[in-house]
Amino acid sequence: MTDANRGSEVAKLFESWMDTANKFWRDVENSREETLKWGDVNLDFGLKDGETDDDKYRTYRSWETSVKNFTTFLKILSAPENQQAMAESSTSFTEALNQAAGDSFENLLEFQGNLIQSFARASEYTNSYNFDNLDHSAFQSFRDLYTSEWQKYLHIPKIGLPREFHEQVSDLVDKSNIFYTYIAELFYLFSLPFEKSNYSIQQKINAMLEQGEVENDPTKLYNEWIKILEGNFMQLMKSQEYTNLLNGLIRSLADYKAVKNDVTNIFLEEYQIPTNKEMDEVYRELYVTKKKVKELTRRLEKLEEKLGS
Amino acid sequence: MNKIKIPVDLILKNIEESRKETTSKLKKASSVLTGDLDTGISQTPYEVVYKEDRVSLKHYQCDDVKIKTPLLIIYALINRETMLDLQPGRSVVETLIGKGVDVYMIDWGYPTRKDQFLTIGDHVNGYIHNTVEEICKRSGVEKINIMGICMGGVFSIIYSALHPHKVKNLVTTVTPTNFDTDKGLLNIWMKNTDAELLGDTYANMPGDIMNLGFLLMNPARLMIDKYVGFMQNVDNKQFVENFIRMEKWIFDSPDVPAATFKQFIVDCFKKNLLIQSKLEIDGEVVDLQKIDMPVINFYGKFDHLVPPEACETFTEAIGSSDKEDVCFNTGHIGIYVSSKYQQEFAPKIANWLAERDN
Repeated sequence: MTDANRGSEVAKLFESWMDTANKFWRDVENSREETLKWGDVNLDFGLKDGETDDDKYRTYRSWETSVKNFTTFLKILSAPENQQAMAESSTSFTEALNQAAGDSFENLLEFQGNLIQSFARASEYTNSYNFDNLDHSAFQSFRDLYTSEWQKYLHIPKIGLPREFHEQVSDLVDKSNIFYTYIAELFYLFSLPFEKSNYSIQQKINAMLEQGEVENDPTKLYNEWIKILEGNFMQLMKSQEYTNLLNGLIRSLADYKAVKNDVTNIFLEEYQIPTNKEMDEVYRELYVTKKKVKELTRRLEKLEEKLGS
Repeated sequence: MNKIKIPVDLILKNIEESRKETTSKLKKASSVLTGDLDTGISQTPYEVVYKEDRVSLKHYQCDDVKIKTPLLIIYALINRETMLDLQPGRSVVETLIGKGVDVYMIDWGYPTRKDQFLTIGDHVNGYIHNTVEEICKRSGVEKINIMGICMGGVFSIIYSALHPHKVKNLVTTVTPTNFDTDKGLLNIWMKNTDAELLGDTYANMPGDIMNLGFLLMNPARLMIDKYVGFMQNVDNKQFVENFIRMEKWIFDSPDVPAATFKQFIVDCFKKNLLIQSKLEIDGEVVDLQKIDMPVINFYGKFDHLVPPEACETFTEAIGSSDKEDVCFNTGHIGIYVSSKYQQEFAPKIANWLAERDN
């Protein structure tokens, strides 16, 4: 479809929408007039002293004016001479929407692609005691998608009187999202040594069964399993991947706790309960004062000793 | 094709035997767990002779003092000093008293949020120095013997370097001084993460989080096998009592003041300043060459928290000429609580101190 054809289609769609909107608001207006004409229902609640008819219906009149203005505006928009401009602007609007959605969709597709690849790699066979080829990039992909696509909505500038509060709440949601991805990743990582150890011991049992052997003492199998598990955990803990994750977890926890404290403080302040921040200031002053007093006491004792001797 | 035969009859027989055994074990376990259990720890008599803020100084009753210089034991800020007096017959304190040592021990108490600004300097030049002064005053001596454990050992070393005139003999046990090693997981993690942030995050570093970190160093043994072992011996009263005592001790974890925690991570784990005599405490450099008193340094060959590499270079760096390294074939806690080292560790210290108690 050419751009000209697309524009004309959009113009037709817009024209029909304008007609429908016009009809709707005309019906609302008519129905209001009908309602006021109802003989059986008394809508006149009486005028109070000094109150004019205009005062009594001032809310309604304000609304009535707005409806009239809006229907006039719709009429102007639907006038033939404005059709072309409307069609063009609506096309631009549609394109802008398509563009925005397109970007997000492309990123989402990329994330899905990465996720599928990650799962494929994660399910590949890896040897026991080997965490070098560990793939847990699904979590990193999710974090990338989150920071590139969703985080920006939480960072939309906040306005108005409760601006600061809204900003802190958004920040809390943001930081907790990131922190919980690290927690999820940690649980995933901890599941790997179990997976590897179980696989090793199952293979051993299988090999024994194929030889017609059965281990009479389950404790022996358990001891072997726990030894393999210990080895696998040790390798995991020593790996760079684990240390990196630990660092990410610590940093995200610190960020999350800090902003959580800020939000909690807002409510504590509301109830006039001293916040940790306020108490920490008192504790610092107490710490400094105590230190000074101890130092001065020590000096005084030395002076007294000197004077005494 | 060879047909493999599985001895099904044998398997069924084993299952039946296990069932009978388990039923009998559960009956006994029920009577053990619901009966009277002696799980008390820290039972050696003592009196608190000095108190400052949250810190108290315990003085153990000794009827026959043979070593006239008192011994001050400085435990770590992590976990509690009760580990040295777990139960009668398995107590370092009891053995030392039995050998005629006049034992004092610092109880660091439980830091609260108000203690978050306390630095290593406040502990060493403040609490430790004041307790040393108190012991000197009580005993009428100029110098005392000091024994440090783990982080408490680091504090003892710092104190001995900053106040050498107050220390007659120094005993360090499982004490890290060289943090530049990759043999221990703690060293790897502390060096490569921003763990010090947790100090600010929580005001004090929560003991439970540290304990979780220690458990995660060997989850297979510490979180699974340990409890499987408990279930296997749940019908053994003595085993259950000892197990509960250890559980009581290990999960009794005070928080560590934030400022001390951060300083320890940054200056020790990350910058490794102590062994290089570059650590500064309250503006004063901790020069290990100033440690000129006799020193004995104990560590465990299989210590996963403080590996031998973190301990064994200490005696080379100090100024003393009377020094000795003792490496036991055990782990971080085994030195103090295992039956085998009850016969070796504390008696060795008592004898070593007696030889230098002139």
